[in-house]
Amino acid sequence: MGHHVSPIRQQWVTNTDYYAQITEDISRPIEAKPNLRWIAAFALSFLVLMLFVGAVTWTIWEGIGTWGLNKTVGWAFDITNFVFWVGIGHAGTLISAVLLLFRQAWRNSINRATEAMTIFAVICAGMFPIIHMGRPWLGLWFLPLPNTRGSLWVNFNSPLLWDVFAISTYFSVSLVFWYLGMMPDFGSIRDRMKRQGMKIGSKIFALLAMGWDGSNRTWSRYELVSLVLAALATPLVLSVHSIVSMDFATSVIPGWHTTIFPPYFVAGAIFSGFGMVQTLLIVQRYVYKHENYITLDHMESIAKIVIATGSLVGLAYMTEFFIAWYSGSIWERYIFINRAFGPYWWAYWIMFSCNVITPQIFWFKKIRRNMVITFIISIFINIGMWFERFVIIVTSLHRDFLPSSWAMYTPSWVEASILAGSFGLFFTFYFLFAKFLPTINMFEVKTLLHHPKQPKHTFEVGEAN
Amino acid sequence: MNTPKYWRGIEELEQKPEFLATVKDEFPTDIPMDQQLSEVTEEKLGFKANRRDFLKLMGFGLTAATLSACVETPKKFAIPYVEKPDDIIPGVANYYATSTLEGISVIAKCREGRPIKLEGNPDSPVTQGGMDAIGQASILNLYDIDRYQAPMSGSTTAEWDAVDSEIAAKLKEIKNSGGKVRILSRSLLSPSLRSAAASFLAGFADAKHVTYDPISYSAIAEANEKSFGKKVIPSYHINKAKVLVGVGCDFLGTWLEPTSQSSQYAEMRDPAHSQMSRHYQIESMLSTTGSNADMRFPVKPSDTGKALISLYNAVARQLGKPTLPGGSFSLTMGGESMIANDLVKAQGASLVLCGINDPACQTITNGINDILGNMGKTIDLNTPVYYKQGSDSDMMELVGELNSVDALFFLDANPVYDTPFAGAFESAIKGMKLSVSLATKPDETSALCAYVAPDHNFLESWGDVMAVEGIYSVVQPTINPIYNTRQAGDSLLKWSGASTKFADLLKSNWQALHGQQADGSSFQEFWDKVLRKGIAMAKKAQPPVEGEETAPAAAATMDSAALSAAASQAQQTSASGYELVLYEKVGIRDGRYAGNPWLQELPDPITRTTWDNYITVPFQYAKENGVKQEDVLKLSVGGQEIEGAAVILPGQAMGTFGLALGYGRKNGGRTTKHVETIDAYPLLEMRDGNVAYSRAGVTVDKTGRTYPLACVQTFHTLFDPTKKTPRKPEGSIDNYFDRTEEIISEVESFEEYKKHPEAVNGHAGTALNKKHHLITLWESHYRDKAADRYIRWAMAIDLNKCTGCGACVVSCHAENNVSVVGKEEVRKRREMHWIRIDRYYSGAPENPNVVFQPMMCQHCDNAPCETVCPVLATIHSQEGLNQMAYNRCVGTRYCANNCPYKVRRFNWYNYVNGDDFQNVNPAHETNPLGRFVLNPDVTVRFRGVMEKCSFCVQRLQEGKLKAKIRAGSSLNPDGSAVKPEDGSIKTACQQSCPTGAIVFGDLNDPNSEVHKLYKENDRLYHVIEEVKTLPSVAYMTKIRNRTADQIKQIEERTEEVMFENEWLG
Repeated sequence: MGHHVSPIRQQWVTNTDYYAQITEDISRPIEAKPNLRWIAAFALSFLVLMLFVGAVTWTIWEGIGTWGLNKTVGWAFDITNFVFWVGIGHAGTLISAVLLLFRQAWRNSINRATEAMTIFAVICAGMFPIIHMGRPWLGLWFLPLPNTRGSLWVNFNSPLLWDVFAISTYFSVSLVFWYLGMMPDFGSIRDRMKRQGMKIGSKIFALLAMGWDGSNRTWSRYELVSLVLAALATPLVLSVHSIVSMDFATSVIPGWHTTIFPPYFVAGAIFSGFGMVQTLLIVQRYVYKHENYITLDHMESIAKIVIATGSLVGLAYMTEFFIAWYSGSIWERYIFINRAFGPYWWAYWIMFSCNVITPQIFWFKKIRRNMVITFIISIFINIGMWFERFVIIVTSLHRDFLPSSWAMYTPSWVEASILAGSFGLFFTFYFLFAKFLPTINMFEVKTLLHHPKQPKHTFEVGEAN
Repeated sequence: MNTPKYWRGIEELEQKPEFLATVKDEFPTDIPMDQQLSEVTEEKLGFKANRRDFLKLMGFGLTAATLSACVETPKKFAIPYVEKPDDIIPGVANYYATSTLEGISVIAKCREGRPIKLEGNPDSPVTQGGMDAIGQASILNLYDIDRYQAPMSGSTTAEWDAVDSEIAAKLKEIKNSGGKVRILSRSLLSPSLRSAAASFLAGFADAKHVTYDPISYSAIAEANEKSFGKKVIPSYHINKAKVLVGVGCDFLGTWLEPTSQSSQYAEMRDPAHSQMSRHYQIESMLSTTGSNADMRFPVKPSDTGKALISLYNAVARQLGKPTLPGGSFSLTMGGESMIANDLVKAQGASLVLCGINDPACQTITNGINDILGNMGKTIDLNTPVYYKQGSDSDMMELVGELNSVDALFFLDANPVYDTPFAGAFESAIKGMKLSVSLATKPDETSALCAYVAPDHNFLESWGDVMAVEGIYSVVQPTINPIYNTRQAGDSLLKWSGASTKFADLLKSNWQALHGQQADGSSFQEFWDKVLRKGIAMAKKAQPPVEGEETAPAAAATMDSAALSAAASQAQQTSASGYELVLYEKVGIRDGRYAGNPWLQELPDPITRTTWDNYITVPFQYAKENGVKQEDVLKLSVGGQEIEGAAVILPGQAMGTFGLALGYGRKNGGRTTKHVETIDAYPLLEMRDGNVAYSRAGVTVDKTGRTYPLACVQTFHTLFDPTKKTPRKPEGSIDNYFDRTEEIISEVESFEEYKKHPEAVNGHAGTALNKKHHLITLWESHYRDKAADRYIRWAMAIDLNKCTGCGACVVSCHAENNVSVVGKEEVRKRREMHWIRIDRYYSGAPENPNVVFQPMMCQHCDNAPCETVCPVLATIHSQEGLNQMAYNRCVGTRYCANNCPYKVRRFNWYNYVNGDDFQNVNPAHETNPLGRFVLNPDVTVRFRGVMEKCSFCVQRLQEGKLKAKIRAGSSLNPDGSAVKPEDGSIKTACQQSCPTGAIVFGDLNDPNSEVHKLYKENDRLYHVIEEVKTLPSVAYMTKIRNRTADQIKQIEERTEEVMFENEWLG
């Protein structure tokens, strides 16, 4: 005795003994034919996507008049959806970049799926600033392109322009990071497919792998680049939603004009993102039987982040009320009283109970490890966070300074279809990803195996189950 | 003969075989076809052409050309003048003086031969350049696509000759048989047209010209005949009345001639003067006038006469005159003695106006004015006005003999719609030998007539107007007749067999007037001057020469017998149950212009509702009976039933309901088809020989249904009465999120204001040299001193003068091509008005204080909209304008969201080509005629684009250019820029304002009126100044003229009924 015993490290991958088994588990669905369940799910998503396409086409054909907006409430579902989807993306970046820098090993099995979620959520988000324009065909005027239109230029004072830069930067960094992370796995799949004689598949993955050879030099370059990208992406976790929040914070409208917005929005974004991560991962570990990679411990860690960010969001809600009272400004006071007790009280209380109250039951370990309840709560969080943005946008606008212009907003079927359809867009992408790309980062998960055994015999493809 | 043989060259002369071989071919050398088509060449050129490729390309080319030719490209014609008319310069407007049908002298602005805007004639001594909403909108009637395009015989179009000869033949027959010929018209303000009608009728043995008015004023003339022996409507000098009492009389909104009355009213309501009139209003509905009054007393229609007796007696007692029998009725707060005190103090300088069409009420009113000595001072019987000449008794007589009338001519008359005798006319017209309508547009009556001889629109006509005795204004054509129509005067002259044209008749009539001019000009000079100026005066109406004292008009003596008879009659009026008030709305009035979309979309000043008729319900009734806004009520009276949506109206007298006339047109054109709504004319009844605009014995039931109304303002107070704040715990009515101080500045006592003028808006100092009570971190980084050498446009709006009439709203519509969007869009809160008149209530809802606030783009120096536009579509000009570049706008709507005043308007649809807007928007592309009204200087906005008030930037530009042209240079001799003279540029809203509430000009010009106001006027403030948008529009505190006692009484009453009512919010 007397010597130091290091604590047993947490098992992030369970019931898995061999590297090859991991490769087999993750790659098999890509090589196999799609099963009926996938086809059904994909078809449904695609159908909903068509609803999106239809509703957007109608909007562009007829005009924004097909929505329920009016002279007082100029934004509602459109920007709510935008902020909602941008927020969703943040969890992915936090997991892939921030947790990488903090050497959180448990991120390894979930970063791929969450990064994919980020990409698709940002694609969904990016639709809305274009759709919501009165003349979307002039969208390129948002870009500071040298032009022949005289001295016309963009307005660098406008937060909407900051959005353009923030979102495009975010999207490109996330996309490169995601793609880069998949290259080693693409190499593995390419090799497997070649061995199985899948000519087309192996050619595609050969292209995607960009000549990945698994040499030490390749690996060391890979590690360096991903570290650099992680460092680049980390500030984006904070900056993107801060900038999105400035769409509101820099305005003069009571309820929008507040300095708390950047941290409040970032916390909310991470919160909502993790809510969506919970939803997606629970489905994934169930459908793909990934329980060994996405363990209950993973889900518990996520639940802990959810309770932390959820409480932060709750704190922000209460701070807003305090500051409204403390400011002594009747505009501020009124807008918050009206938010909670005015005609949109139901939206406020949906938001409050979904975001602040429900996550509190994650204090119980049993619940953190109960996937049915977690799934239900994650849906609540998604709903709550959507309503948060709705509440901020609509209740602030509908009763601002002059009571003569106070008005109510009721969404039209077109807006409802676009909202529903954006989920179609998201899940169409997500199901394509889940079928054709490795949903778990194989090589990183392999690093988590404690004492990988040598298989007793050489694995044949398709043998291990 | 030997022909010389020419040779072409040595080769031919020599006849070498090589040469002979070449000449036998058409082309002496080979064309290198093979070489051209060889593969070698193709290789060299880098392509390979073969027959298939050629066919493919040709096919493609043909198809592409065909397809592109199929695309329907809009054809637009720009045809230059072959011979340019002398007086038309494309792009430069011409102005002609003319007059509207309502008798308002106007200047018509014409562009390239088409009138596009009417503005009040500033030379008119009657209206002083003001104009009301219906006048502003009347230009659209010219371009009404539903107008008659040719004469009609039955329901088919005909030729004028055919129609004329048929009518002449029938007239001859009637003449020979000595049949009855009648002309039915509204009040004709044109003396020449009246004489044309008279000369037409002169040819018949039994002929009569019957005049009626849909809203009858017949009782006034009748009462004056009884009281003073003069059957006239006198001139009222509101501008001479220090105490003004209105009884059921909306003289600022609808009664008689509101434009001139408003302008006179405003003269006495200027707090800058040493004295301000005190205005009492006794009425059943909350009218525009009542909402401007200092004190207002809601009474039921059946009590109005009794209230007048009480008022008479209160005055008489103070003056020691005999009182009238009765008078037990008492106004709230001891109103009659309150009013009598003031009236007696202002003897000879007070005025009681009564708008009840009941001779008894009018006679008692005459009595009050008589004992106060107002006759001949504020009421001038010797200068009658002719706005309303209708006689109810004449009309009754006509209705009685309708079945025996042989020929009836409807000259600007539509009795099938706008009288209670629709049935009588309908059946009589069918059986009549000759029925002719001279309407300009199909209406309920013309649809039944055998012939329609369509009249010109007034803008196509010659004519004259004498609305006030001795003051003439001319009507001259501003455009060639658009359709195959003929002026009514010409039609009458033609049918009377005369060969003169109406224009000649007119001129000869004006010869007489020429004789009264003292300037010694020839008639042609006089006539030219009249056409330029639009106005001429008879001798007695001309202003007196300096120093020459005019004899005061002899005060008529009041017939006391008539008075006591009237009193006993008024006293007898009793009514059981609920009562119904039938009233006119400011926009639609009597319904003649119900087809005018600008007027339909003009929100009612009080209810702020557009497009529909509705039943107004007193606040208290609604509360007690659980009636909600938009509940459909079934109202039955005298066996008639109507259903209509409820609008809860604070200030309406308990026990009454209100219903507007002028709606429910069955044949009012395409616009009226847009909404089907209630026609109230059948509910009118005759009472003692006069049309009564109220009914008693009304029952009202809820139907349980609701009907959607298009209301542009659903919050009516300056706070949300359902939300309390502990801000002012003393229990005062400020115990709410009260925004009043930030938005409306208001002082209840004129005397207090005069004592402490600096205290009015809580912010000491005036707008320009005020020491700000607000601290800012950003000290004036926005203000560029260098900009001082430019113009800086600014506006000041006097809340004391704004009566809420809505003339500016329609004027802006016309000037700036603002789209009409129709009921559905208004209901979605998407009306496009660039200027709106916000109306707020305060105090007890049973009788609230009302304030109007015109609101348009404030052209903020720190404009929140400008910073947020990502594409710089809205920017600040050097001259302080907040400008919209429509072409650059991509429609993010961020600017509108960030506008604290919510004045930005978004084009949700393409309002000029969407199917839903075909019948409502006159500028719709399917309406070729309606589009003529568009102002070519202002872009029609496309969908997806934001728009808002531009301070009429096109007028500013025009004014600046004119100033430079006048100066002959863009620089003054001292090197400074040439600026337009102050007052030379007027915005459309400012120009049309009958009370002059809007002042506009260059703030950097120290001599401009607006600069003086900003510098010196202590009433000036900005709306929500705290947000520090630094607006270029300022408002001037509303000063009411109440006594300390009155203020206390109102406050006590308000305390009693705290606002606990969700509806108001």
